Order: sequence, then C-alpha cells, then structure tokens
Amino acid sequence: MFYINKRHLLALALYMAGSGMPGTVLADPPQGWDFLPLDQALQIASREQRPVFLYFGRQGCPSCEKTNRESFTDPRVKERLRENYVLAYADSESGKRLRLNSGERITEMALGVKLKVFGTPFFYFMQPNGQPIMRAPGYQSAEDFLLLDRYVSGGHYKEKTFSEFKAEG
Amino acid sequence: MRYLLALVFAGLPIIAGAAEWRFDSPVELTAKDTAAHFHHHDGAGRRHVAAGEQEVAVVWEDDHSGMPQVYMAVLAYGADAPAARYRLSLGDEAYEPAVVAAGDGRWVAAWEQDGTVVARFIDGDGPGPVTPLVEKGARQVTLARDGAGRLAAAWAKSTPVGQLLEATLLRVEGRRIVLADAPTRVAPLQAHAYQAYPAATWAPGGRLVVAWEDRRAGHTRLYYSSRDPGGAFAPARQLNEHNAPPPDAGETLALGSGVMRVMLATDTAGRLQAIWLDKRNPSSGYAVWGASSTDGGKSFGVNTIVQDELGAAVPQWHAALAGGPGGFVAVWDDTRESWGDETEPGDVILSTRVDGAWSPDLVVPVASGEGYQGSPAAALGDDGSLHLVWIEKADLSAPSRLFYASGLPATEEALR
Repeated sequence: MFYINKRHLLALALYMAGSGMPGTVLADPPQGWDFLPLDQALQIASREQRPVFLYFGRQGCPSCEKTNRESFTDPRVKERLRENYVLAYADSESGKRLRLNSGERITEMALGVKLKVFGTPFFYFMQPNGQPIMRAPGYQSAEDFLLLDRYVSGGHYKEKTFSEFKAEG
Repeated sequence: MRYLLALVFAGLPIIAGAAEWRFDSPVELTAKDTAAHFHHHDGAGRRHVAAGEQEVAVVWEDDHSGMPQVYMAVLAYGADAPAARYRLSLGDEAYEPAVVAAGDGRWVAAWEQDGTVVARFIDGDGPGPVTPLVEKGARQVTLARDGAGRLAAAWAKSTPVGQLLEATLLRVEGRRIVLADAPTRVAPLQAHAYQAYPAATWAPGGRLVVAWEDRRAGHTRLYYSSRDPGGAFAPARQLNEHNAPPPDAGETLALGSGVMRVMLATDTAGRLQAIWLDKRNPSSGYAVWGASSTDGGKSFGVNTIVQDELGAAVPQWHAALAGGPGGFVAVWDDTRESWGDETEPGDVILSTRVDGAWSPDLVVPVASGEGYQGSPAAALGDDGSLHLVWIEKADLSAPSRLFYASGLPATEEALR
C-alpha cells in the first residue's frame, strides 16, 4: 500500500508553494490526487523501491481534461495507481525546475524534450531509478490504465511487449 | 570528419540561393578537461549569442562548478578558440542568461540569480559589477539593444496575484549597468496572472516591443505590446492564432492549443519578426510558427509556419531567431534526419526569411549527424554573417558540450 505520510504532504505543499502562482494558471493534474514533481517522486521511489507513474499535462489541453474527467475519477484507477506507483506530474510548457538523478537541473519543458513528449497527455512508467519502463501517449481510458498497470506492476514488461501482453487478453 | 573540413557547403541545391550557407569549422567553447556536466540555452527570448563588429559573445548556463552558473565566451570572427571565458554569475545558482552587443567590443548580459534577475557589463577588461534589476522574486530576463544604443530589459516578476512582466531601460555608466527608468508593467494587473518568458526587440524610432506567454485565458497564448519613447505600453494584443475546442465539446475546461517560448527580432529594414513553438497540430508535436510586423510592432500579421514540409511529421524544439541585413534566420532542432531511429535524437535546422517568405529548411551540416545537436541560438552580424551556437551530446540524457560556428551566405540571394 502507498500511504501518504508527512513527507509526502510537505513535498506536495512545497510543490504548490514553489510555483509562486495561483493554482489556476498551472496545468491541471486531476483533483484529489497527490502528484509530486518528478525529482521528489524519484527520491521517494528510490527509497521505497517503487516505480514512478509520470503524467505530462498542459494547461487547457482537451485530452488531459478528458482523461482527468473520465479516467482519473474511476476509483479502480485511483486505487491501482496510488497503490503501485509514486505519482509525478509535469507541465509540458513550464519553466519550473527540477533536478534529475544525473544531477542535471532542467525545466519541466526540457524534461518533456528529453523524454520525447510530443503531445499531452503523455504517461510514463519508470523504474525507481528513473529508467523508462514504457510510455503511453494520448488519452487513456480507465480500462487502458488498468491494463497498463497490470502490465507494469505484474512485471510482464520484462518478458513481452505491451502489444503481446494485450493480445493475450 | 566534419571537424576536418575548413569550409562546408550547405544547403538544398535544388532551391538555388534560398538556403545555402558556408560554415566554418565548429569551435568548442568550453574546456575539455571537465567531468560530465550539462549546458543549457533556455533563456527568455533565447538571446544566447550576440555579434559585435569583430567579435562574438556567447552566454550559457552549466553545472561544471557543482551548481548551475552562467558563463560567457568571447571570440573573434574566424577564431578557432575563445579569446576569453568568464564566469558571470556570483551567487549560489544562476540560470537563463541573455547577451547583447553594446558596441566597440562591449557586451551586456543578464540572467536569473538566486531568485532575482541581474545584469552585467563586459568589455576587454572583463566583467564589471553585477547590477540587480529587481530586489527579489524575478526570473526569465531578456535583453534588447538597437543600433542607436537603446538598451532594454524585460522579465517576469512574482506578485501576490501571479506572475507579471516588467520592462525597463538600461544605461551603461562606466562599466556599470544602471536602470535608466523605473520598471513598468508590460500588461495591466489581472487576477491569476501568469505572464512568462518575455522576448523584446526595438522597432525603428525607439519603439520597444515585448511579446510573452500568457495563461489568462486558461491555456497558453502569446501576447504582445509596445511603447514609444517615454510612453506607456499599449493594450496587449494576441500574437498567435489557436485552436479552440469544437462546438460540440460541451462543458469543458479545455480551452485551446498550446504555444511557448516566443522570440522577437528586427532586421535592418525595420521589419519585425516573431517566431514561437506552436502545438496547434495535435498529431505532430510543437512546430515553429511566426508572424511579421511592418508597422513597427504595433500589429503583427497572420501566422505562418516557418519549417517546411520535411519537418511536418516530427516535433520542433528550441527555436531561436536572429534579425540582420535584409532578413531573418530561424534555427531550431528536430529529428527529421533520424525518423524512426531512437538513437538519433536531433539536429540543428535553419530557415532564412528574405522577401517575406521562409526558405526551405537546411539541416546545418556542422550541427548535425550522430548524436544530439540542438538547443541552438543565432545572431547575424552587420556583414550578413551568421553566428550559431548549439549543444551536443551523445543522447538526450548524456552530458553535453557547447559549440559555435560562423557562416556566410553561399550566394548573395541567401540573405541580402
């Protein structure tokens, strides 16, 4: 289980305060979730040896809003993602800075370039050390997320492609 | 191999004269004895290189000292190594520099340092004193200087209601930068403001033009404003056209396509050009779009795409713009040369705007090939020479190196 502890809440509060801006001008992560900046999420992931689920969004992005409204409100999705991953969020147009495991200090926009995020929403599953497991661009339904979770949290990515896993039903 | 070539003929020969440049061999701007570190060119307006009469200045941020700091290299036209390198920043952390030529081998740089923005004069004797432009809470500073010596800075400042742009005139007194007037807001105060990444340029007659990212509408749009000498900034106008949700979208918070990182420049004919990264096509990532002004920045015309069709299927990143004799040069990086090859992460691409149209794109021969060559910036000299800087790395996550090369039009038609 993934429990919200004081450290997580502090990190989230620092994330919101660190922007120096009202929340309405940031890109829109789904309400009621506890997303962190990627660098803070990776620190927790490394300590707890849990994978990271990274959501790249953009303010005003129609498919992001659709994902938030239709998929992230599904209690099954919320339970599985919160239980199995440390959750991170990045604004694909933001100049907000974070520090990567390599030590490089970059903006969230530059992180998107590095991860080849060509559109939003864009979802990334990562190892606790930040190495990629798989990526899922574009709108994902609740069922899509549940399937992706089974593929990643079940370790199937080590043996087969997502297409092969999906074909097996 | 490419480094062995003294001159490389570039271009798309089927497009006679429109996109042909000859480049000198690249010059590495930073010492090779350093361990892995990372260079960045991500300042507001992307003014990371400036061309003087006989020299070029390049500014960047890297972390080779252990923390991000801002540096500058100066090299003579045609030189194979910098004549001088300076660390410009003096604090704990510094980011996002800009530089302009101030004439006679003098330069002015500005950057973010420890939560505010500062400026510094540099000449052959090295950097002068650091001048804070704002007491605290500022970032994303850019500079603009014109041929008459007018110098301005613009930046984003945090306020209780959001992030707002300010602009001011600067003056060089001795070796010190001073504020020539009180900073003023570029656009009026508004609730939940988020104004970011300003770009600035001078129009003929001393009109200062500023463009920026603005999230007041619920998604990022670009706005611009301008002011005459001694006047106030005009009401902001939208620069980019955007895609809105379809009428049948119902109740939605999603308000439109995205844009980011606008650049402005003025050519010697007094025309203004803006370019930016634009996400109006949802299937292929950001593309480089632009708009022109022929009335001194009071208005900009319809949006036109900058890149050619060969770049249509891949995203473009890190666009930068230079204005000079008779036109403009836009540079950016994209992966058109490595489509489908995940190990080839980007090359520097160039397009020239002469006579009101963007040329076919040129994959810059000295800034392309194996590995990543990207995050370019450019300046044009008074003689029409192009001064190009870019970052190289083996892949997108690898440590980086910083390069410079100069180019000249291979034909007179390339940039008159």
